[in-house]
Amino acid sequence: MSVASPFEKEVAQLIVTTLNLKMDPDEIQPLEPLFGEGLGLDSIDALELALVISQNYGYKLRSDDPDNVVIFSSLQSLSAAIEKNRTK
Amino acid sequence: MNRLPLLQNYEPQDIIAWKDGLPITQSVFLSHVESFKKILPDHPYVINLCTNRYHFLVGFAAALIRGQTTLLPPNNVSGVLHQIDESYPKSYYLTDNAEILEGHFGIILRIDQLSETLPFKNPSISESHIAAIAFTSGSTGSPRPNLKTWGSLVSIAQKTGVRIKTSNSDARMTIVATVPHQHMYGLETSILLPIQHGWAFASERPFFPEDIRATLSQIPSPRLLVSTPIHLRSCVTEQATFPTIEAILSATAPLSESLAHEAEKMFRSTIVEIYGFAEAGTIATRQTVRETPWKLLDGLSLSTRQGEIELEAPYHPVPIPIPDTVTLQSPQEFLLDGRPGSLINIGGHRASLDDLSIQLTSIDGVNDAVFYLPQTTQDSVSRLIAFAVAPGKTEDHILANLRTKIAPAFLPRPLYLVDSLPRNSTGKLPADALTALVYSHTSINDTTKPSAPSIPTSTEITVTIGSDHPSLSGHFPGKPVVPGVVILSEVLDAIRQDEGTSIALLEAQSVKFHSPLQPNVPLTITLDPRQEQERTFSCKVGSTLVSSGQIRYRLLETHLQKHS
Repeated sequence: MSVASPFEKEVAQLIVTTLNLKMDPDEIQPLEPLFGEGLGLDSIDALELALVISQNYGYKLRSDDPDNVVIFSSLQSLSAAIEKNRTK
Repeated sequence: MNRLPLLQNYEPQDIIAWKDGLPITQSVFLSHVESFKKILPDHPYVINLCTNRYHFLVGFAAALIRGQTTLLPPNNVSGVLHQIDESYPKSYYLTDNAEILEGHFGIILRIDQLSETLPFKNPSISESHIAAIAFTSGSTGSPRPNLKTWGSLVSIAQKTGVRIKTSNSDARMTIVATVPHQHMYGLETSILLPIQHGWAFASERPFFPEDIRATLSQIPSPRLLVSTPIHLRSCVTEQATFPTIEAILSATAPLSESLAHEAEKMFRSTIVEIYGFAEAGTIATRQTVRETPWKLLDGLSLSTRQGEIELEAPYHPVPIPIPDTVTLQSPQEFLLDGRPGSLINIGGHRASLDDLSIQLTSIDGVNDAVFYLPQTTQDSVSRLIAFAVAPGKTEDHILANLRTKIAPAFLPRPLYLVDSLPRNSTGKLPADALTALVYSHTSINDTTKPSAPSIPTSTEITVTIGSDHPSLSGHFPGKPVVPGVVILSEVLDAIRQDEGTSIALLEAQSVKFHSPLQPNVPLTITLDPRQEQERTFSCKVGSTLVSSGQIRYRLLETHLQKHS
């Protein structure tokens, strides 16, 4: 089990708040899948998440980004993508 | 038997689709179809899973010409596909991304291997041919088929197009759709609408606001965006710069008047809201900002039979009951009052709570179960919660099983495992007992899904103006009607409450009184998110619009005295 970085914790908090998940942000494992199995998020969640990510970090997600499979695969990869692309 | 052409207004050099930013002409399209139809196997049914909209159309058209029927499963959940496979053993699936469905016979559409120069003519198809079968979740747990003749699809596309055409009725629209073409709404508006009007479409299915903006920028004007309240809310909140969109279609969930206002302003557009259901397809439209009642498509009518309201259309052999509760205003106009009992709609997927509960109970190890839909805020998606009695089983185990049976949008969030459900002696689960169970597991705030903190939200306040209100004494004795100025003063009070301070009215703009308000009837005032001391409001009784408009005001420093 890997330990979440401070920024991953921030993104975990954002996911839990945005999607109103009934769980503690610490329960999201950094390498656990966010969609399908794992947290079980779906496309409507992706839209909600994209919106707050854009507003909070200025990073606009694109669905034709070939890296999406990787980006949404886990908390760790999503956080890394935000850190790499953020403009604020 | 009457035959109707595949392409209405066939012009070889006109553009039918945009793929990767490049145009595809109608003649190249017909050559693709001619070339592909020869490859299709001799099966009567095809499940077209192509994700690219142009590829889907090529497969759909080739199947039509071969006399085949396209099956539209409600989702790609493996259990559902398996059930359809059992009912339609002579079916094959069509894909454009080499995905293999185990145990199914399928073929892959490779567009670059099809000829662009085959001789062909614009095909025509018998109007009684079953072009597609759309499935809805039935009360028995297995998908229920809804047969769509070619004639009905063509007719609906033609009638819907009339409602969209702008003043320049010869304009050839290009469509961008955020909805899947395997859904009835998407099939009718992004596939049938363009081929029956000589319009074009973008083959991509943009999803995030940035995708939608990019796809719109790649196609010529005039543009038509086919979307949903969820996507429109995303775009409006994102506040990116979008190209002008001449018209927007919205369906799958009710669109609030306030969001419709904002979206029209931002996109410099006209929004046409579509009402339909899988059994009948699109049946009515309205311009949400300008009209409250829904107008039936031309040639359709509603009638009441044995207390049930039914739709009659020239292309439906028998009348079809309306699944929502509606109030008839005239044979061609109606108000939508909501959904009876256990029917729900999440992200455009309809289901009944009873059916979902059956699916959950059918999982091995689950003894009893119930689904519950919490209250929701406008334009946002509500999520179901569920309770299950399953001794010795884990939530993960149950959810993994449920995932193969129902669409992701219906998965409970969360699923609570309980020792028993509060059923009464007759085995029924009384509504108040269920509400109490929900309450004991969640707090009130938890049962709704609020928007993220950074997304501005609307404020809703309900007031009742009593029949003893002083203004009512002279206002139509015997048939009291609340004067407009009293309604406006309630709106100002609501703004005061929401701002937490006194305000001075600067201007009331485009205030309209749509229908009379009687005393003693609860009136719901909805205030749009704050914007620079300007609020758009709407007042409704149930779903009937009473008044709407905009208020500009100035905040006053003094603190609010509680108004009585």
